[in-house]
Amino acid sequence: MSGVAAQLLNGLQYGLLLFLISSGLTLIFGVMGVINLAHGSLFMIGAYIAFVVSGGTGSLWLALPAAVVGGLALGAVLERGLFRRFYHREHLDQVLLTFALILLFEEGRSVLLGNDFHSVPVPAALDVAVPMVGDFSYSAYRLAVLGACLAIAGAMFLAIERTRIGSAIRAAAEKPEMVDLLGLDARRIHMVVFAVGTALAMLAGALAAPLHSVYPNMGHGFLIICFVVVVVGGVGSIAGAFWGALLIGIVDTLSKAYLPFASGLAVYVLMAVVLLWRPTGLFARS
Amino acid sequence: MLTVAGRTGSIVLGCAALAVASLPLFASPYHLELVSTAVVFAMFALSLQLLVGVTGLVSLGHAAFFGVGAYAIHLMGAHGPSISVLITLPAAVLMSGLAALAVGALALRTRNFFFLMTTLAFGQMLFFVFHDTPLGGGADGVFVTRPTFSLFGLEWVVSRQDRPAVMLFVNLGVLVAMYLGLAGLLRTMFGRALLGIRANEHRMRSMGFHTYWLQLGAFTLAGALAGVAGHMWGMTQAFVSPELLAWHRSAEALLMILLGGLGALHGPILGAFAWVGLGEIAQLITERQRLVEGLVILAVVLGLRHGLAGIRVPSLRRAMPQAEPATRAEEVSP
Amino acid sequence: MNTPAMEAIGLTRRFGGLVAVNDVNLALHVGELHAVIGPNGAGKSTLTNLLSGELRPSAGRLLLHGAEVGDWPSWRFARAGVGRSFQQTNVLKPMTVRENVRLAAQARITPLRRYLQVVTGEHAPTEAAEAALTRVGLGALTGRTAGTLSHGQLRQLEIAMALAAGPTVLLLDEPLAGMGPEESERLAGLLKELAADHAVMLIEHDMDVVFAVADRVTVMVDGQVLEQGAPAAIRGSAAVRDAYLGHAA
Repeated sequence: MSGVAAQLLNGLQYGLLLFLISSGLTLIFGVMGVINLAHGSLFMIGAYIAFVVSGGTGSLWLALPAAVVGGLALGAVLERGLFRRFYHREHLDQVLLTFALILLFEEGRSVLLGNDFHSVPVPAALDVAVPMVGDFSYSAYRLAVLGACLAIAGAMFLAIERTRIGSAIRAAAEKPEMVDLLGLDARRIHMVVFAVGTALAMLAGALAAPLHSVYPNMGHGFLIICFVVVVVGGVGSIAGAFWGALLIGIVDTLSKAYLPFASGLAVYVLMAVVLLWRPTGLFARS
Repeated sequence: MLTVAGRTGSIVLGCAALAVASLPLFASPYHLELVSTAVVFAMFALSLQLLVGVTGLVSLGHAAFFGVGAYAIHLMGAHGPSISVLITLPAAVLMSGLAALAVGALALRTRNFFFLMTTLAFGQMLFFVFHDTPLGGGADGVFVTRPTFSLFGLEWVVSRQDRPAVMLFVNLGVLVAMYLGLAGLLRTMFGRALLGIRANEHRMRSMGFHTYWLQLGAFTLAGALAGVAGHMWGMTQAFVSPELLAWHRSAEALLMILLGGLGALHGPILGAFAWVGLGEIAQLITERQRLVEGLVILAVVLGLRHGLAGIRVPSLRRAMPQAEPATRAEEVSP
Repeated sequence: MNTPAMEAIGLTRRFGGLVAVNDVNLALHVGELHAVIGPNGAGKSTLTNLLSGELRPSAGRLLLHGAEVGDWPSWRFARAGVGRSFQQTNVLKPMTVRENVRLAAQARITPLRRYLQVVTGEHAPTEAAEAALTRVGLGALTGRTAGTLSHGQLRQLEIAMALAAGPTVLLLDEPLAGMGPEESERLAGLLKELAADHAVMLIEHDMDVVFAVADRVTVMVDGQVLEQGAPAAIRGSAAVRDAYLGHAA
């Protein structure tokens, strides 16, 4: 019983992490029409920032703001320097641009930090098991990640519902031609969306580092799972990414725990069923 | 729009094929195997051109069908006594074609980026099938016995010494056949309809074409042809691994197409040779091969818009309007 | 009168809160040219999109030769003999004029094996395609790339594409827009000629053309039918003059 509860919590926490990555992916796609294959590499960079900063200072706490600030800066630079030229190019060009970025990011990581696996220690204060119901206890760090992701998700929903630029972003994701109608500077919105999306992916990487350890090409698996999230959840919507991520996180975790022979396959079967049933995604507004 | 090489172009391509075929006269076995690899990649990229350049579908899962074709040799039980290529090749076509039919039937319910993501995800699923289940024979890959050239008990035994040259001839023959077959396909009603879908899918539908079935036909055929390429890979290398299905191979094939030129049927062949050559040169200069590759892709995406096939001597250029990028089907406005 | 080739009964289409086409009744008969006029935004193009399956009706019925077709996808309409042209030019730009029309003619070919038949780039045009091109006056431009045509020539190409498939119902959305006066007059003559053995619906802004060729006129305003009748009656209607012809003047 407590085993199932732990797996459910693991799934929830994994799903929330997936939400941080896929919300950026889906917003960048929804607003700018760009598919960013290098989004998984951004996650990888965030994880390596956690490894370097917590290794250097002994504290993961400093790594989190470093990942966020670094992500905002990197996102803004990438948007200005490269992506801006590709919004109206063919998909093939966008795919190859971002594929080239993956190669360059991975090679840069290899040059700077080598190709080894590294584990990142959980902060000492959270390296305990929190007693839950009865004799069931659960990792404090995982609970903290869960809480942090929920808080970020809540903040994102609030920002999108309540602020001017948030509503412009939502409008742009649903109907790109709306941005001009609202009289907002499209270029500014693009840069904000790209920078925030990048920061979220890198923050997710930093949060995930103690749980998944850091290793070369670690972003690939997360990227592809996030594609599944976006396809299952639905087009360009934050809510779709949220519910899709939770569903995929839980299904993936439970299937790996209880259906070892189908290990990686369950989420793809789920995606196939969704495509048959509702090709626009489960949570898309029709 | 995608064009097939005219008379001059065909002569040039024919001479290039002859040049490759004459390599065994002077090249080393290592170089023969390298060129064989390029020829197999050319088949693979050419099969993807049927989707990208002809039908306008950008798939990121094409390597899965290449891998299924290669694994067909393993799945046919080629560990003990070897089996004739006349059995393994059709088996590869059948298996990869069926896999493509299943993936395509689902993925074609989506469009554009979602098609891209869906094909990538299903490709990854097939990767897991061969990586994690007993079907594939191990995550690190598995040696296979080479299919033999035999028919009704008669076998043409190829010595180890002759093998690189023979495999090069066979691969080159398959590539030429595939190219001519696709060039022929583009002259049929089916081929013209696929080109029409790339030009304007929405209009094709409103003219009465059931575009889904046409696209599914193209997707299945492209998958089967990728399976042929994969089979030839497995036969040349006598080794198959899950890595053959990995998505970065799909991206590489897209790159070969872009490198060679999206607007010409033979573009991917040029691109495959360029890509293999580039990898070889990069390896000589530096250990950081991916750095060179990444920078070259950036340069191509930022600079060389029409690929190698777009570089032409002006006087040879046929009096023909410039190929335009595919126009996106316009939404119906209320 | 006999069964209409196409009939809309209470046809309605909403976009969110906006009702673009509201309770429209319309019958198209073979042998009749039915003009639909109205100010911009009256719902004429939405109506065309409903009648050709590009859009699904929100309410109401749509009959093709007496059979319910409201839930058909657009390709079935085309195969069942409904040809249309688009207001915003919508052709296969990188292909030649001939290829555009030939594909339109090919679309209704059903036996699958014929799809493997060779149609060489420029040398084997189908007769239907060639005839349609000659009819609309593009016979001399068949080898040109569609993307390089002038606006008026593209309108002619649209009509040829609609004709090539041998339709019984023709829905033409502003087919004469952007044409020179000479071409325009010639094509107006062609429309009149086509009406003899097709059911033609024509959306057109030029009132002189409409009153010269139409057998029946429907006036739409704000998604609704304001008036329907013979051209002479429409010309005389005070309501129409106020609501629409007044705007134009």
